[in-house]
Amino acid sequence: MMDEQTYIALVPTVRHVVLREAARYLPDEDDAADVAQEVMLKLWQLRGTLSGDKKMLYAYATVLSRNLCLNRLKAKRRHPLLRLHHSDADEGDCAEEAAYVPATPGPDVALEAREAYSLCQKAVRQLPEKWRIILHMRSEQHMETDDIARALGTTAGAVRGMLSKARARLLTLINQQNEIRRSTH
Amino acid sequence: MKYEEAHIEDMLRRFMKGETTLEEERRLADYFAAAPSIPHRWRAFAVLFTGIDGGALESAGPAQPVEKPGRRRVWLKVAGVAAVLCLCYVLGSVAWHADEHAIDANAAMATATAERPSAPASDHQPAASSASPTTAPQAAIPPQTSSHARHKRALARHTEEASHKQDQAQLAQNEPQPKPQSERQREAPSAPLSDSDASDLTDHIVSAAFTYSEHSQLDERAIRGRDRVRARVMEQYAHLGL
Repeated sequence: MMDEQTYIALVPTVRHVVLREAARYLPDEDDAADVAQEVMLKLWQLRGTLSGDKKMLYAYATVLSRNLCLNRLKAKRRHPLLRLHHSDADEGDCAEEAAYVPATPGPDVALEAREAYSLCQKAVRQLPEKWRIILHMRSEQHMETDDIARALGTTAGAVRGMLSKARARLLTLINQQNEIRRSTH
Repeated sequence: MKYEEAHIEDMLRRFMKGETTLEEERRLADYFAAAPSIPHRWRAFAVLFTGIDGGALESAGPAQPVEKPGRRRVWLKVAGVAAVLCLCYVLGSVAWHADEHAIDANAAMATATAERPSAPASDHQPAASSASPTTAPQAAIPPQTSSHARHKRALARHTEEASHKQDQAQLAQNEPQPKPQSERQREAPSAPLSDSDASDLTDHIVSAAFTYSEHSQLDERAIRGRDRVRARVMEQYAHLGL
């Protein structure tokens, strides 16, 4: 078991290890940073189950990072023709979403809290795990931006960016769910 | 009220940029939980805040990869179709070639053995008697108007005539010694056969070949193959005879 203080003390080193491993596989620095971020989020979520051994933690972080890199490479390789589209869609829509406050054409009927809850749950289920973890850190654990940054080994600015992307994605998913619900009625 | 809406609007904008403080986020959540009427454009925000307040993030369970299996299955389907097409092509070509060989071999047997009985007849039309039974199915076809059939017949006649001339020329020279060649053609069993045995055997093979050629519809290919074999046999005859 590893308590939070110990973990946070180790975070900078772990992030360094993870980033270095990711850079071995991904030529693009931003991609590597992305992967590192995801690994840190997963590790944060798993911190309760990690053993106290530092070396084990580094090894585990390395493997996690490598696997995520390989997944990413495989996803890009899978459809060579769609690769351009794929990378464009991935980055483009994140950048767009970050600045985007959706105008939400809701249903005419006022939503009951219960309905809203199930709608939100459906949307959360489709949310990528990394976004879910960061939203959880913020909204459930009520962590300050600086604390999150420390836990992930990044800066407060990066955390704000992640929060922004995660919220935008969740809102988009909620709108989609809303559309689906309306079209089925 | 107007003031509050503007305030909320501003907070929402900063919320989307990730710039709100925890305190502001709590106030937003309170607003969406308690406000009697929420403007239309904030519906999605209302869902988000009430959902998260209700614990949607906790209870959603692990993320499910939705698309992956479908994608892989499409790939598998394409691969399967390609594999089946390849298999069809290979089987088809194998069957086609096997067919060709079988017809060639049958025709070869028919012609090779047909030479044997024609030799002792010793008149000047030995090949005519050997050729007429094998071409009987071809000749029996009633005259057709299609140009394809005409061409087929013309071709057959042409090759037939050519080989007749060759037959006559070669056989005239080879008549004194047809025996060693005919024994060679009989694919030589280890013990040498007596002459009557040999002629019995050849008669048997000839009749078998003829019934085969009558029952199966020999097409142009078979006839051409037969003529080719015959020409080759005649060449060997000539070579050994000279």
